[in-house]
Amino acid sequence: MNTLTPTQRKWVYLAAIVVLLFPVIYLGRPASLDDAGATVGGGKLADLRKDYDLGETSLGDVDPSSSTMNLVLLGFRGIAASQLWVDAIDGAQTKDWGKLKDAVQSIIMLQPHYVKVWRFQGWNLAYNVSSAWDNVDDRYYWVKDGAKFLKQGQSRNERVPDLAHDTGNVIGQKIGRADEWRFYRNFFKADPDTDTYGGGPDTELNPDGLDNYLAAREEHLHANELELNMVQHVMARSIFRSLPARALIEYANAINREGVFGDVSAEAWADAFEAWTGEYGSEPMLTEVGEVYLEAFDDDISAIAKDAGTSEEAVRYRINRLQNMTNYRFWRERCRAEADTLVSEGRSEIYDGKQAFRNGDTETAKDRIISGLEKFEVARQKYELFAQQDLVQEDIMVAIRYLQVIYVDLEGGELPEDTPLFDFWQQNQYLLDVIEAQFRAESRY
Amino acid sequence: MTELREFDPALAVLVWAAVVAVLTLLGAGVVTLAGLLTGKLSLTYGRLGTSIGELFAFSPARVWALAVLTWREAVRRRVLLVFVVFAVLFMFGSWFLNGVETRTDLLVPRFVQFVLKTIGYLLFPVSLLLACWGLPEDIRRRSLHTVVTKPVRRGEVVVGRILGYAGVMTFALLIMATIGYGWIDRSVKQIDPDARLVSRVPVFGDLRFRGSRGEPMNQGINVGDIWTYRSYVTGQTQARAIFTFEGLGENAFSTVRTAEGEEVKRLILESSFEAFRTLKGDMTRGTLVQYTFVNPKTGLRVDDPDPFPIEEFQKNVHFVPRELTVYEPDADGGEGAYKTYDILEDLIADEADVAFPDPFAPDAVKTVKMRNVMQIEVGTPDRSQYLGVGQADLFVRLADRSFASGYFKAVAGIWLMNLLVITLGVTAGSFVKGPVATVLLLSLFLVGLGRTREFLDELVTTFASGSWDGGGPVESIVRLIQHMNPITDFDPGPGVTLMKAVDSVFMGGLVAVSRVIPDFTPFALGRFPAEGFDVPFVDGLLPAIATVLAFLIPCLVVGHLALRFRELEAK
Repeated sequence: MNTLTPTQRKWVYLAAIVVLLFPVIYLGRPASLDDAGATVGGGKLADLRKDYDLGETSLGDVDPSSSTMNLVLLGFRGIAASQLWVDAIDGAQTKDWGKLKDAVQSIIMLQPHYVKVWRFQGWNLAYNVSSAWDNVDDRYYWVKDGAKFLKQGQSRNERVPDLAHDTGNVIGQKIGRADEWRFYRNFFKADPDTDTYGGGPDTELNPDGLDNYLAAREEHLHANELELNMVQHVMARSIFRSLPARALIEYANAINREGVFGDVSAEAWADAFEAWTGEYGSEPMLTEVGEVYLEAFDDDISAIAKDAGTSEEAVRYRINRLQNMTNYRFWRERCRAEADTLVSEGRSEIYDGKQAFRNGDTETAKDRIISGLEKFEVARQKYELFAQQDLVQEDIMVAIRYLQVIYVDLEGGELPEDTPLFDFWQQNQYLLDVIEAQFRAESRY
Repeated sequence: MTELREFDPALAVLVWAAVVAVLTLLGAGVVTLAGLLTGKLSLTYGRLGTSIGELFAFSPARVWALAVLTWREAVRRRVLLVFVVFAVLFMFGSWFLNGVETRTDLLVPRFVQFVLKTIGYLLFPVSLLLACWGLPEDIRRRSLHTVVTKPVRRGEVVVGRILGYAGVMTFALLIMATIGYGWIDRSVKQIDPDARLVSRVPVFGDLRFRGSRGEPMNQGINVGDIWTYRSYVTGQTQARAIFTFEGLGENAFSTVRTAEGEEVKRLILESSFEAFRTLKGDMTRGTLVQYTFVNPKTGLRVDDPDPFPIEEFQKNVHFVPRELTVYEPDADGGEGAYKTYDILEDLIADEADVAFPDPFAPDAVKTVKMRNVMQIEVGTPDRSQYLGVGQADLFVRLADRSFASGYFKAVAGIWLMNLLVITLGVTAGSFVKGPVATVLLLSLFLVGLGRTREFLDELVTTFASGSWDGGGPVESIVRLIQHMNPITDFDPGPGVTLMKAVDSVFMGGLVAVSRVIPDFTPFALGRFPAEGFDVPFVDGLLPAIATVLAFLIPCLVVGHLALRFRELEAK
């Protein structure tokens, strides 16, 4: 039975409140940010959050509207997110892109740290939505949108390497390798929306006006940096770590495809070689025998074997396996060869020859292509692995295919046996089917 | 603009009259039964007669007095606090809306829908609670006694209530709609200062197809799209999508300002076709769209001299001058010559019998007499590319109206819906208590909207057309017990006839009930201004108005009678 008067009861309540206030403050006092942005002070829970990196701020930027949404929805976040997914899929199917974007923006507001959502929708926008449009400007808009979306995802999830990788992938591969790559690569430096960007790049995506592959390299470098602290879920680690260097190789390759040769090209390949061997080649990779690195010569291998207390053969075997995963030796050789002015000049001549062919000047075409192939023949002797890779093999076959058309189809004769790399042409006849489409597309023959 | 529903006013009135007649008969049956059971049949009918007589003797002054009373009471209940919520939503709305979007074509629908939805969501609970709790509360507090002892008819109480609440609702709606309008205008101007919002006035056509060998088809090619709204015509073949437009005349030509600042009359054709490429082809330009104008009476065909590249998912506006000069290779005995045609004179037929062949029944060609009619055939001259065409993808755009026109008509849709809610709520409040009335109305709303409504409509139409598998409730039970699948036929016999007869009564009842549940879909007119269209009267506003009227009259009668015969003493 309660024997207290109402006034007494109120005093008891007040006392209880004051007493309970102490543990509440001790446990729950919120931390504040100092000038450098680091959390300071705070109660026990804030400390624990900081120690275990559980706070929202430790994951990335906090969007106030996102937190508000989650609070307003109480416990119905899951249901709301599911409904939004239904809306998003419906929007995509009925080509209601505004609805799709709205739904996606709302989903990420509800689940800002659900990495899969960012990855899926970023890819969806850049690859699927863009291809649904007919106009190349519009397509580019959506590719950009996908990349921007992934960047937004990065800022909300600052420690996740997967998103940085995906951004790099869209900027690098999607822009550089799509059927519309010539347009896209130009657009990346000079956006087609001239009203907004005044003929310059989209500043949100490419503030420095870089080449798309160089911008992609920045993203991949960032991804690699993050990957040291958090596991990525994209691909085998040895391949993942090679991507910044690969971006430089792609860059050199792309400018060659666009007809840029000479010093610029040689320098690009030299940079790629440096990144491939110096940067990627010296990355420590964990194997069964301990850490190894790919750019390892005999001395290095014996040193590693000695440190790990195992045989040189065991180390060599592991390194070999890792090298095979990224085709390390080939790319090393390729970069070295391409950086050589010999190959660069050869490519330049073959390119000129192809242009001459398209303009109907078969004599010049013959001349230049043969001269280019001669340089390739020398390079083939000089760099053992150079002509052993598909891409180079196809390049050589396509060049000789031009000669074949000139000699056989147009002049009614035969391909002379003293054509440089004639033996190579005969040995690789099986490649003709593979290169025919490429030949037809580029020669317009 | 992918869903267009056609509304047939005559049919609607007919269905309404039938349902009202059935319900009146049912009501009369119940009254007769009650009269017979109490043995006072003539007295019951006498009182009913007087009550109905009262319905025709309303005094506007008394109704007005009651309406003003209702208004004051509603304001006293702090109904207008709804504005505070409204203000908060608008202050923070842009947080959620703008995002990183820069395309006005994607943003404008979002703004318009946000405003209209916010207004709708805020107003609905206010109307619902006010209307459902008003009368029961009066009865509970016995304040209705003081009213009914005055020379006021019960029906007038109902009408006064409806008018009063409708007044409050209208006031709130007008303020919100005006603020919303300003907000949309300001938000759009912030993104694109040159943007000009308008309400387009479309004339849609009937769509048929022709296959690549010229054969008639109801649908084009399916290119494997999950969404079957558009079907496709093959490029550089005889395949065409054929739109038949009726009612084109001088008014179809709108005044347009050319680049030189000259004002000219043009036929504006706006389209939203989709391209499907089987090869990349020339990536620097869109797939071409070629129109051919056909006079269905004379059969004269004139190719539009200006095919244009498609810009997908955007507004492709094509201006056609009244006079078309085209090169005809076959003219002048195969010499080839330029010829000039006048669209109004040569291509629009005053009256024509337009044939709509049915590919599945080649002998039964449907011919329709149409006035001021022209056909526009759509194809693409790009080989191996396909053009996707859907019903609403091409329309003749008449002179634009102001954005306010479409916007405020959509607001009128919201107003009508809330008026219906108030009418139903007040009526429900006249015979049940507040909470019950609220639940009743909420259920009606949920059943009358969206998926449930679609299900009901489908049930009714499939059952009426006889294509419903498995029959009604009795037949279903019989099938369940006998382990019969739903499509096996029964052997004919008296039992089966009886079963089907009983079922048709059940299903007839269901049809009647489904008609009594108000259809809330016609009120959602927001998609029109959101997509930049004016709200059409016949297919847009009229169904909404008709729905409200259809319920207003029976609700008045029911409300009046309920109050008349109800024991107001009871709590």
